[in-house]
Amino acid sequence: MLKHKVFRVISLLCVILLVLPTAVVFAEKGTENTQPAPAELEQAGLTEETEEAYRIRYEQVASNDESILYADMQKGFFALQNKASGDIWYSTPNDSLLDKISGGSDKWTVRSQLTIGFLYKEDVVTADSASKANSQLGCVEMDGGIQVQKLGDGIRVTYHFVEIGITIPVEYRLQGASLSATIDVANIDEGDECLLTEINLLPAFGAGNWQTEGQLLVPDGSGALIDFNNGVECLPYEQMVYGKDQLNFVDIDSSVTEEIRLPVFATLMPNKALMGVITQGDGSASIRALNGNEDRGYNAVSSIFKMRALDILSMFKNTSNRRDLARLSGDTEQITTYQVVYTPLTGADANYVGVANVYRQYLVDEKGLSKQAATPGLALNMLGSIDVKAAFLGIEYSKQQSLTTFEQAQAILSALKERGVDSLSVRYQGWSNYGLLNKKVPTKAKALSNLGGKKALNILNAYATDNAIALYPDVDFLRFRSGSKKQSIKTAFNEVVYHTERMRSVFATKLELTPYRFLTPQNLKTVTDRYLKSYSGTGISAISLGTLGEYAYSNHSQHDGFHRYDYPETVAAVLQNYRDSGLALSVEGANAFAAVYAARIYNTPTLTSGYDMFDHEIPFYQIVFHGYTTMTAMPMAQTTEAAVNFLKAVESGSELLFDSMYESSALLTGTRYDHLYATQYTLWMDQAVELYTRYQPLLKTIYDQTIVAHTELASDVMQTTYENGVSVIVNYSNVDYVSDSLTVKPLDYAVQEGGAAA
Amino acid sequence: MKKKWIIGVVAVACLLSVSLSVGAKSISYTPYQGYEYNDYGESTATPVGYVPDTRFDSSDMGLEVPLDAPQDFYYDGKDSFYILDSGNGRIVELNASLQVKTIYDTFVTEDGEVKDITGATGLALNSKGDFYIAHPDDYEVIKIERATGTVTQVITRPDEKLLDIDSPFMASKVTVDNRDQLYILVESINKGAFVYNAQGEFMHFFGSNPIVQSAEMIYDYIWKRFMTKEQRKGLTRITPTVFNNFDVDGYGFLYTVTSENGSTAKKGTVRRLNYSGSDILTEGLIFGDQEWDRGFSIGSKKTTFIDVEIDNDGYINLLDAGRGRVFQYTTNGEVIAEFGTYSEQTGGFTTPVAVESIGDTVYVLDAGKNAIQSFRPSDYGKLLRKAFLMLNTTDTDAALDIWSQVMQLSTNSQYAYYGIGTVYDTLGEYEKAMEYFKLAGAHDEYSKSLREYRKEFVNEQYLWIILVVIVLVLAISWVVKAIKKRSVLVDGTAYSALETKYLFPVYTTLHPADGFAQFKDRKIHSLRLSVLLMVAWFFLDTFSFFYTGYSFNMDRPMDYNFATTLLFTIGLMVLFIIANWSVCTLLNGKGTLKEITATCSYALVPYLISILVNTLLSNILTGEEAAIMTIISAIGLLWSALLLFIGLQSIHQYGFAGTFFSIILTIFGMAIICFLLLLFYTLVQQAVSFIKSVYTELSLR
Repeated sequence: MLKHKVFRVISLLCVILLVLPTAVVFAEKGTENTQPAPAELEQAGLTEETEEAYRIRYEQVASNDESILYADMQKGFFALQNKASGDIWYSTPNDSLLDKISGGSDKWTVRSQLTIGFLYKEDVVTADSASKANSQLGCVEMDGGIQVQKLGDGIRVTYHFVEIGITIPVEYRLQGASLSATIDVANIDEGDECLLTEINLLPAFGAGNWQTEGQLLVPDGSGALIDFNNGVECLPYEQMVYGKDQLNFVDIDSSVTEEIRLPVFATLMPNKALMGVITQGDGSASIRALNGNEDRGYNAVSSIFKMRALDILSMFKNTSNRRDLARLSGDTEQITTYQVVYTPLTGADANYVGVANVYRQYLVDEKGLSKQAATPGLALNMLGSIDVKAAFLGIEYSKQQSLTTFEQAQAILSALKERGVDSLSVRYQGWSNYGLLNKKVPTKAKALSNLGGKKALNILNAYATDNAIALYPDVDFLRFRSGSKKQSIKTAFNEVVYHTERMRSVFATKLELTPYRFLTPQNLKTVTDRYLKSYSGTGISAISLGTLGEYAYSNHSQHDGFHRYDYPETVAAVLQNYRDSGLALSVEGANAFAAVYAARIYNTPTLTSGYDMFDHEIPFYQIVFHGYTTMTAMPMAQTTEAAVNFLKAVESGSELLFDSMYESSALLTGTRYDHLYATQYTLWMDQAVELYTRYQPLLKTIYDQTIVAHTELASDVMQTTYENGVSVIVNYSNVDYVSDSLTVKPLDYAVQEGGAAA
Repeated sequence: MKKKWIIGVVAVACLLSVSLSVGAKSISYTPYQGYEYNDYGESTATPVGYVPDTRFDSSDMGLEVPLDAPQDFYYDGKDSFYILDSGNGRIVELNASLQVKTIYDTFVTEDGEVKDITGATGLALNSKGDFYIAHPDDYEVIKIERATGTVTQVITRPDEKLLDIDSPFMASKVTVDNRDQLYILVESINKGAFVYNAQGEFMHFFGSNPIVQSAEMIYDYIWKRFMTKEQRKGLTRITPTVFNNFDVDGYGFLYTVTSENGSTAKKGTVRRLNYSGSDILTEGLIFGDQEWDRGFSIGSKKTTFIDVEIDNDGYINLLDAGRGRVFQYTTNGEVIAEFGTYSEQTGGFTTPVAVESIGDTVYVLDAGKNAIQSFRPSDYGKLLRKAFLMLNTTDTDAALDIWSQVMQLSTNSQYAYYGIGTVYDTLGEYEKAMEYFKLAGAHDEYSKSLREYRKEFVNEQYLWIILVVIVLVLAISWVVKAIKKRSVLVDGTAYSALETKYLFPVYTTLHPADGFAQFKDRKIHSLRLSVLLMVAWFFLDTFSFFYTGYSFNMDRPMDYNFATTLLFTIGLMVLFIIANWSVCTLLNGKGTLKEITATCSYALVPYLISILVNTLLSNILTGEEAAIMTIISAIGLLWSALLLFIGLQSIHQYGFAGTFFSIILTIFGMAIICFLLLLFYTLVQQAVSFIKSVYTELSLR
């Protein structure tokens, strides 16, 4: 109940905030002089025959010390000019009339400020996908489709899709050098017939044309760059920010991908760049990128606000009358705004390191990111216990099979110490509750007795404290196998969503393994509060909340739906609470909303999904967080090419991570956990010691330093430079890299300190 | 018109680097996961064996006119790749770094007319470097002299009256062996490959796929007996399957591949044919995916091999268009790696059409992406490729070293455990060998090591063994004596001590005719004891599931299922009892339900003893001595069956024929009960699902 009240107050405040400036603007309107736009804003390729609908007439509508906003008061097009550099960024490319390449829907997308997905209410039940509309055809070319109002610091454009009766107000305001684009979700009018599914905001803002040089930055995995006009013929890139929704579990997923962890994207051109940060609504957004090729004349990256999802239910499954029903997910009433802040960058800042800097500053100012990088070293992911099927006198039961007891964990740590690995950290998975995968939602922090129980855990903790080893016992609040259906997320048909383990070969479900489900986000606060009380009894000063960083999802239940829009805030509140209670946190992945709270991030992506559209793989994620948080690379043991994984860690300044167990890994063969092969510590110890000995001296000097430059020196040779002047050159190619001062062998790296080779 | 030869655009490839793996794109993601099949046909996780290296699209190759739906490519084994760029009607020659060397785009016939090869699907080169191009739309294979671009040979449908069908000559693929013999694959004619000599004369057919005998065919055969001629015409004919592609290996053997489909088993999708056309691969090898996707994607995702290629080490690369995957196998059918997937990612395909290799690098031609994707072996793949070559080596140190390295990277790999086990076996460390063979799922090898281990054990521990044997003999003789002692009539009664309520199962086992007869006279049978014996059966079955020696135990502890075990012991018994009672009540049998229960349970005794003895023996016997266990098992079963027969005869008071007849009817009755139960279950399930759907539908309105 309290929550609803809070929401009401917030929405009221928001409305007031929105209305007030508008009123002020109206008061000022009469006095303001309309200044003509400079000549350079003149549309390219304009001829006498150009139809009225494609003519854009800019006038100055707002300005501040750093930038000027021009807009077409009839059609809503706008342009943002940076005063210092003079760079102009257009909402629609100013030369779109010259574009002879784009065809089909691309032709309209490039001229639109919005494209939307919608469904007619009467069609929802039988729909399988949403219809599309764009603001050029749907609003600009219709009578009364566009209404532009001046605000003091910008404009408010009301897009009225005449034929389908949907009205979407969007405000574009200057904020210093930046421009904020805000969809006024609270005042969207969907009319009587339609429901919106998504809004692609400014699909072509800052787009580069068919002959421009430049790149698009997409935060897929570690980060990817798409060269302008790379010519690749493929589907547009579109992925959810913070990963696929765990609610939309698909049975067949033949290829694996990385997820988007940060709500940032950018268009990079020589000496100028335009970046976008999704500041409100990042929980239910996706990022879309289009590359130039034979059928598309421009390159652009933008964000999409995902309002509703379509859930499909198969009816009469076992009969010949099988039929699919569709239903839209829950209500969006409580959502007030979706906002993207666009910031132009110039000169030396106009590259992805500059983008990372601006974004990091945003995290510091708005999201509470602070310098809390933990002392780096060798990171271990200790595997505690798993449940296995057993039988006594023919009666089956599940028993705990320990992989690493607390005592054995200490043995591994001291064995490593003896061999000179003096800086270590441990995340302990499967140490309580039901082992590596929960049975029930955890309530108590109780060490498993087969691992040695509370006593042994205390001894391990004391050992860790004495030896300055960070110990993060891991708890997974989100996934569980049994318990009340109320706790699980459900589809719009109120059906519990089960996640199953799949065969690697043909992707079918492994029927013999119990599926798991996800906890409803509404329950998260209660569960975590209760657990925290119990956890403080263990006396351990750190905790790993792995899955809180890894996942993001919604609950489409008709009774207690939860929009993904609110997910980041919900999890952030939990993490804040845990950190406030004095615990050092570590997370997995990790999504931006969780990463800002963590002293250590496990399994940070060092690769990008490798879509055909992508041309370069960059450690953008690490550039954002390095120096503020300690990150580990992917686990070494299960990588396909150890040398490459090591170099990826070195390039991004990440710790080395080893999954680790004491017993033979053959115990895991044929179980749910068989992907954790080759983790027995004796198998990787030599490799770990060797790599640590070589890498640790470097890591110690850079772990609390931000990355100030990252460049490709030659094909597959990357250089990372830190703020203290240390730079690392990594050679992924199979030829020597030779420069004036040093030679880097293939699949090797070299360190330069303040310019000199070391 | 005079013959002319135009060399197209000779793009000077900028050879900044000769090396192959310096790619056009610096992306190192692998969009698929590695797995291996264990001996139960289940996939287990292993590291990826091959990782995507580079995607070469037209601009990376240095082509001005981009590729358009290329259908085939050919590596000449030295330094050139040839791409059949079907959409553009040309052949593109690339160097080993995949940079353009020459483009052949104008061809003329001997009459001087221009020859268009747009739409051709097969390409091969003979030892002189001349092209053979298979063109199904033109119903021909043409030979083009490379130096002049002249079509010097046109091979069409042979004149001979060899073909009883008049299908067109849709030649889709062509290959040339080391004797310059030409093999042509014709989609429409299923007699095998057409073989031509270098002069273009038709020689014979080669290697037609045999018709696979399957249950489906037998079913069809029986069904056809009941059909009219017209109906029979409507049926599709079962014919030998056409193979999809072929390749000649270093020894001149022809490999052929085909798709898995309804009427052919998974076996035989890949064949290696000698000169006489018979398959010389080990029989029964399964290539491609072994698990079933449960019809998630009906039809489209079946294993469909469309290309085969043999690399320098003799490993087989198979291109599966069903799942967009390349499988790399040894000639013994061990999988080294499977890689690729359908996706728009580096290392993914949209329309893969052909596979080639240079050394250990594998290239896949993608007609959808108009690109060549190369793959290189990962750490794991490199190791396995090396290790399989050493499976038969005598250098045990090296073999142990390499297999340990494999194990170090994948503790799920049965190959690694097998390799290590083999080494220990050779070294005479049989106990260790057994441990590894167990992890490898190698029952026969385990059994062989056990035999050697047993020899050593007997030699070392003979004193103890003699002692154990003495104790056993004493124990058995004590039991025999005890039974004998109790077989004597107790003074003053007509019965021996064995003929008491709780020792009665022993008596019926030894004296069935007299024993079972006493059920009626003395009511000596005990229900409690009957139930106890049934429960004992359940426990003994469970015991043998877990404790049968590894040489003979195909069951894994993780596969144990309480319900199934219960069903196949007590459940089966109860079913028999109910069926027998139902049948015999109708047939004037005199036995009561309690008597039937007791008869069935008491009859079990010999069988139960045989289970116990066999389970214990299986731990010390080896595969060669399996006969002993078979004999014990047979004795136990026959004895029990005999007891059952005599018992039922006695309690129902039937004659021999009557008993026989009643048992047959009982088995029939059991089948009917099962059928009814199943029917009931299905109906209830259907009804529940229907009601649920209706409810959902209503609640949504």
